[in-house]
Amino acid sequence: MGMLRKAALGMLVAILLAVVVGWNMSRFISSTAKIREKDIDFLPPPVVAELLCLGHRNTLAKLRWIDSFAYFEYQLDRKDDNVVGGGKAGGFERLYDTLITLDPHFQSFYEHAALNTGGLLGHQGVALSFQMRGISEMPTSSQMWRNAAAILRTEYHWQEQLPEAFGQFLSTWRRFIPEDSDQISIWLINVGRHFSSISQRMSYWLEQLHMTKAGSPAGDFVEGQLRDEYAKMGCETLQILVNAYRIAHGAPAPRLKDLWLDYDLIDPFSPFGATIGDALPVRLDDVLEPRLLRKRLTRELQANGPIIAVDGRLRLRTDPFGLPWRLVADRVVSTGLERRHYQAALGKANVALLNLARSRGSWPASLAEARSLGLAIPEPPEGGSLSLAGEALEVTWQTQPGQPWSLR
Amino acid sequence: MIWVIATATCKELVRSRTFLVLILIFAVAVGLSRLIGWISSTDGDIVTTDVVFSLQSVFGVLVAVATGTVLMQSEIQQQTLYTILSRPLERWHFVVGKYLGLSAGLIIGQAAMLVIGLLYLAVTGAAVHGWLVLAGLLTTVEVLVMAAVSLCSTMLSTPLLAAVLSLIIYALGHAVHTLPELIHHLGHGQQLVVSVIASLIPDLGQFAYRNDAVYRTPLMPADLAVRLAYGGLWIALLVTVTVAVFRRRQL
Repeated sequence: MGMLRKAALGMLVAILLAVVVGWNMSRFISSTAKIREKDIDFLPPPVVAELLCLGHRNTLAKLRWIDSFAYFEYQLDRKDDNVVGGGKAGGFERLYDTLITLDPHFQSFYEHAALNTGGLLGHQGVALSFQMRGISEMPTSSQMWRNAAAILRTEYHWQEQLPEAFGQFLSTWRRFIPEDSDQISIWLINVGRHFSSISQRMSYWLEQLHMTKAGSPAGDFVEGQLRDEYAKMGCETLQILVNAYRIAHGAPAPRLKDLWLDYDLIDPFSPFGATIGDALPVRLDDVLEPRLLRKRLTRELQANGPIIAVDGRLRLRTDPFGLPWRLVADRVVSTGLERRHYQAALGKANVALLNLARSRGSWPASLAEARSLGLAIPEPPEGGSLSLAGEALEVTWQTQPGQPWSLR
Repeated sequence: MIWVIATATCKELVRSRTFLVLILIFAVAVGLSRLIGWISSTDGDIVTTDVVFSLQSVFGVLVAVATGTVLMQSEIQQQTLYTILSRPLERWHFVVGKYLGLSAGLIIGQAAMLVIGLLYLAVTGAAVHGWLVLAGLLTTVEVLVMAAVSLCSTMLSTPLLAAVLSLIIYALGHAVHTLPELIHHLGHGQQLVVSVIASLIPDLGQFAYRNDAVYRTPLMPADLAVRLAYGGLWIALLVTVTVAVFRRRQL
């Protein structure tokens, strides 16, 4: 009898264990990748935070920082950094002020503070102040100087508007890190040559890319911003070719300015009105007409442009997001960029939906009901279908993206 | 006789299940600390190093409190204390011997934790340098102060209450380090009261050099000597109080 009881008890323990472990495991097996986002609900001033750390300032600062990645995700859609009791300073500013006070030697705090306040929210003054604080703490860190220089150059245009002050800044940099002297000049030339005419912002995001890790929320955000810039640049490049094609085929240029801009794209050996095909291109591949490209691409291809050389021939690659470029009413569109813009608008609509549900005390049952309640829901672009999935608006796309451009 | 008691206490401590299990849990926690480094999306080595050294302090204090609070009580419950005290032995010999044995055991534990931590950091590619060893040394002093706190509080109350009291003093001991910056928000009278109360608690922030050691911030020898002396003074005070209470205690 005793043995039987023992065996039964052992069996019961094994069954219960299997059930609870199975239950727990099912949460992992059925889980899907989900962006974690939340508001900042606890922001003690630096001195209080120091008191609460119980001698583990560095560790707790980093744990708090890792937890704040969810606030970063939260702000991607909202871009409203006001927090309760924050005064003029926003949530990020207060958060990083505290983190830096707790652990002033951790370089990533300054870099992320600048990225979150400047890159995400556009508060470049705050971003610059964090970088300068980082320089004063770590004056021999090249990356700190580079980041600050990138902000001064691309956001405040110091090189053009305050050349003397910018020169002083660079000479201070050289004084602190003499071995950077040669690199500074090369870096400035690169920033000016590649990006000044197309996108000043791109040099800023390239600097940010160096500081972030692939796959991290900040890294994904920076890559997204950089892809946006490349997509805009690609649209611009392709649009010039579209215009040149039209001119080469005798169709009137939309504006005199366009004609002047595209003049050097026109092959002098191909007179206006020459018959290459239809009057207007129907596919983007059509504009990769060698005669049109010859003069524009006499020496080199853009490093991150929409046209690449494959097996000795020029080809149109996907947009930076791995999706096709499209020609819509004679305008070049990046499908990926279009989707990004729509996702941003949808994010705002979801915030409005949440506020609506809170004020009503219930969620709308359908898209129609949500619209009838006054919720402004943007229509998805081509290939997208919108649905109200429980508590959020979701869009699904017919075309799935291929491999996006590799940026790192 | 002090030496005999100390040796026996040390052996008992390092063979105790609590001690060994806490060291084992420390080792597992150190192994898992890399996870935090991975999700930190940046310099994971520094994050991991911070976590490892925080774990050394937390587990060291847990070992000190868990073992220090039951040390005297188990002697009384098992009635071995009466056998010892029936010999020609001063009570202070017994207390000092117990504390020295406890300290020796804790130093062995801290050394083991430091070696495990540094080996793990070295194997996972994080920087290992002499400043980290110094940080480990100061954490050991912190643990020894906490052992004296737990021994003293056991004399004043039950083991459970003593453990709670010790952990509260650990928290307050670190909080008082920052208090001088906050105290100016209080009125003059309040400042005086708070200053007096705070001064009765050991400032454990003196031993939190680990926060600077990670970045190789040097510690001046004079500064190190002051911190060691501060820890030594607190240990001397707490052991003396323990002796005083134990002498008057009716057994």
